[in-house]
Amino acid sequence: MAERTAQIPISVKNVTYTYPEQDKPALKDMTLDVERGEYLVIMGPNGAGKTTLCLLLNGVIPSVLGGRLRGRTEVMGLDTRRHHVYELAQYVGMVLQDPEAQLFTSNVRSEAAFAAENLGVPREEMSQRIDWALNVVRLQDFVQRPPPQLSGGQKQRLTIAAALVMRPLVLVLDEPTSQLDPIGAQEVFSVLRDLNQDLGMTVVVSTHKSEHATRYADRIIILNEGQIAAQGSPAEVFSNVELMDRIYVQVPAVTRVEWDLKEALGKKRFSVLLEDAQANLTKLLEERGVAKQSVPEHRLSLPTPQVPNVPYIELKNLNFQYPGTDKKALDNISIVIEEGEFVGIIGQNGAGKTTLVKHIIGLLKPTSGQVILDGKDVADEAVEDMARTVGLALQNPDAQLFAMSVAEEVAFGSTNLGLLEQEVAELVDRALAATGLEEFREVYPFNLSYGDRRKLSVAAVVSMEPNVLIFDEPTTGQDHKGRRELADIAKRLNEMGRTILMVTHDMDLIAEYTQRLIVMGDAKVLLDGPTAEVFQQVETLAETFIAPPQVTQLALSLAEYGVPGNILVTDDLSQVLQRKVGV
Amino acid sequence: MNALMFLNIDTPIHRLKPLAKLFMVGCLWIASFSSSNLLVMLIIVIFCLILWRIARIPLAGMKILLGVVAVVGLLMIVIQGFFYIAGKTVLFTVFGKPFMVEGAIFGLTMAVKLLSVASAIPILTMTTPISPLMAGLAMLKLPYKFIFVFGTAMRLTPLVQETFEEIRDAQRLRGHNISKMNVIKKITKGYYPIFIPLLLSLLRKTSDMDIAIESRAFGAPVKRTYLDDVSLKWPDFLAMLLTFSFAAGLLALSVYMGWGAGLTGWGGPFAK
Repeated sequence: MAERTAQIPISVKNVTYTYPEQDKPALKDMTLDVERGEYLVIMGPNGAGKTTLCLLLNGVIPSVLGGRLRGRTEVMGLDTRRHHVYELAQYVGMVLQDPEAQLFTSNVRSEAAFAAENLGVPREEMSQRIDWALNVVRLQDFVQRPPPQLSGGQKQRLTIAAALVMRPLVLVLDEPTSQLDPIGAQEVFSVLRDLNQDLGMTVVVSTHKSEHATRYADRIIILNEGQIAAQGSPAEVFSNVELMDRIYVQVPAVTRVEWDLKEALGKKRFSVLLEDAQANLTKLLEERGVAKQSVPEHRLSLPTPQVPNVPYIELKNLNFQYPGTDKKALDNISIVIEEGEFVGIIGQNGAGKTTLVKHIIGLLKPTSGQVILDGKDVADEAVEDMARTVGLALQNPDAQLFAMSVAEEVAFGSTNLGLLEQEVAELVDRALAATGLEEFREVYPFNLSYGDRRKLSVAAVVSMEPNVLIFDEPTTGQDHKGRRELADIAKRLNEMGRTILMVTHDMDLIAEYTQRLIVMGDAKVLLDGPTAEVFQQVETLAETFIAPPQVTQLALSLAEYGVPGNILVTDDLSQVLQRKVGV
Repeated sequence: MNALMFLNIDTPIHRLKPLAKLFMVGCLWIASFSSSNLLVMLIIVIFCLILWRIARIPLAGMKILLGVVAVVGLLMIVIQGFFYIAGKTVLFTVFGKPFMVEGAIFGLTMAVKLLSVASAIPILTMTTPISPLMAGLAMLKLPYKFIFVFGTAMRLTPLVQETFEEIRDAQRLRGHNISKMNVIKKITKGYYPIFIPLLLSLLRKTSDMDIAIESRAFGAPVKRTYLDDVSLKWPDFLAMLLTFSFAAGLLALSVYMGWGAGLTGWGGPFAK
């Protein structure tokens, strides 16, 4: 037994688990061994059971959350039903999604100390453990910094350090990067890689990001409806493209391109890494005698619609500095957006995206400069009166939901505008239709899934029929299906004539849906132009830690075979390659 | 200024151990509560301001305190002026109801007492990080669960404020203009679109927090240790001795001048 537990620190056998006051099990007959030193990635759509499985692995289920549990989970041979979380925590460290909810103390050092203090570790040893943990997560220079003053990535690294002081054998992380910008996510993943490869720590991480999973995972488990739908190496799992599509798990772009070319490639297992796909496709192009050449670049994805040449949103020499700070949050920003455009705004956290959006909706007044919206200076208008002109779909839908039914929630905004009951009813119907929520009109909002609550927050804004709609991070916490559904709603509204601004870290979504892209960095606009052209500025993007979508990177790497570099979606690249290799 | 928020700088007051600062604040509070003499309480306020200066606590905070005390003080002066039982000297009458000088002085004294008590709080909270403060409270043998709740409440205060502002802005963007509503409409329709999401959001955050603290071995049945060494050293004893002597001196002054309210105190040597 001792030998087995050392090799298999966590063992889950035939576990079925149902949350308190729920009828449907969140996990069904789950059997899983986590092997020592492995990097295990858990993927699956929202509601598949990823968080539940993570909480099962360190004993929070059933000790803290209760519920009905059948089967057996062992951590180092200890039955999680008979041993409390504080015992198991010394073997399994846990990091949750939202770093804000995991930080309790006044500075980095005391935060890292919390678990060791709880375990009664002597002060001298505690100090050594803290120094080691903060070094591992590269926060040794921030020991006195209060957690609210850390960036998102630093906060999440601190929660990792806070778990590491217990010196666990296994680190379990539930979607640790879902709320982080690309730099923050990169920081966290590089720490996990070091822990796994250099220190041999077992890492279990749930994520929606297939590019991360393919880069680091030894094994991927795909969950669907509380059960394991597939497992194996990244290549084994993602090569089953039909299954992934069926259960809405995002397949890496390079895998999908190879899958589209499966007959020409003559194989059933496909690359999951950019460099492997590039090598395979280069070989294929050479075998088929494709000459090295160059072709004129042209846009293959969404054609840019004709929009009236009338400025609708004008930012004129906009400057803003938060009180009590010595650095500009917006530095001389000048942008003109025309009615009916679909614009993406990207950039690392702190680049000024949110500050910019808050100026457009009137929540912030510029230090100098002007925001003109539909001919009016936003600074002269009350925020409440702007609601007819500009709407903001929030990142966190739960920050505004309060009504007893979906219809009542959607009616709130238009009622506030002082419209007649009949007009409100018509607007509610139209907003529910535009967001696909008609069947839920009498449902209590918090009984909806997270994805549907996000749609509801959009409907709540759409019902006021603003001309400009801003989507703030529509992909946070969303699975592949949810991301696309929200982006499709935005696209439909754009086709109906609305101007759409989408602030996001999701490059695939930006590439597929937006016509124009604004890249912000260090309070300035770094790039502004057609999306396909902006994504070709690889070096400038790298300065602000942004990489073009994987499919664009693959296209750029095959440019010498005449593949255009302005490709933004996989179907387009597949078609180009199919033509070139004669499929 | 948030009087609960730690000021992350290094000053002699910051370097004092939490127990020493708890003792100092306790001494000042005892002196404040034991006396109703205006002069004594003004001396306490000046003493606190000197400590603020040493701790580099922004004096802008005092303006806020003065503003709050001015409003409360005015109310106290009006209420006590009309309803003070032991009042003798009538200053003026309103609809036949006399306004007493003694009542007004008593109200003013209460307001300054409030100011002197409130002035002492930032000397502890703005110069002591939460974890050493918790370790200091543990030295007083308070139950750790109580200490943890206290520490978490301190941490949650800015989080609640931030969440409240986010929700209020979200509803403003849906045309919800609470500032244009009268009091009754505010109560019946104005607040619930803000407070319901706030409550739900905080419940969710605290539920996550519960999982996070359990996962970090909170409540393990072992003797808890503390990272911070909060044992008292000679500067702490010196500061405690000075504050104790100061408070004792003020108490003696209060006795000498009489326990009553106002500048002279009734029954003291300067009382008329």
